[in-house]
Amino acid sequence: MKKYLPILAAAAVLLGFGASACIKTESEIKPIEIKPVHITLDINIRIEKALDDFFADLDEL
Amino acid sequence: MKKFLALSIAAFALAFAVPQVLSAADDAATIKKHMAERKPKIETLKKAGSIGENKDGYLEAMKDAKLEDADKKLIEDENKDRKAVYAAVAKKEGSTVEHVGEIRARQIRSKAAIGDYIQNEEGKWVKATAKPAAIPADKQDK
Repeated sequence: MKKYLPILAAAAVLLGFGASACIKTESEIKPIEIKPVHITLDINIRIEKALDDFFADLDEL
Repeated sequence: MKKFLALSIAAFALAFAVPQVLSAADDAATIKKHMAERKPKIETLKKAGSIGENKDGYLEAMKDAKLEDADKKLIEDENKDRKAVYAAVAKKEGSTVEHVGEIRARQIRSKAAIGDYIQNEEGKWVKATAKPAAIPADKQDK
């Protein structure tokens, strides 16, 4: 039995390497949701323009 | 008699209908006119350090300022008109009065005269200073 121990150990190591090569891992990267930020920026730009349209000539006085 | 009655009823109905028909543009024009009328006095109060522009887009009396009743009324009227404008913009753009006010406050800070009191976004009262506009790298003299 002791004679076969090194052989068994080597076989176990080789089996481990083989198993890791066969194991498939899948990782899913979820896309970053940027829509809310884009919408917020768009609204702010429109608000700025609306305020400019009203106050521009008043600010020039 | 019937004709006279019909005319009377029509005139009576018109008297109530006309104010409703007035467009929002007329209200905006009235607000703008009042703001223009108030502006010189507001500028005087700002230069004196009695009032400043807060971070919400409204005029605010400084802590130790001694304002006359007429000046307090002027500030109140100005803020009321500003709020009406912010409400109209907020309704049109689907935002809130507060948010529109904050954006207007940012515009006011960028245009403030040197020495006028302005409240920054952190709530601290500071005096406006002239800041040179940043020149894009591609337009700088080499």
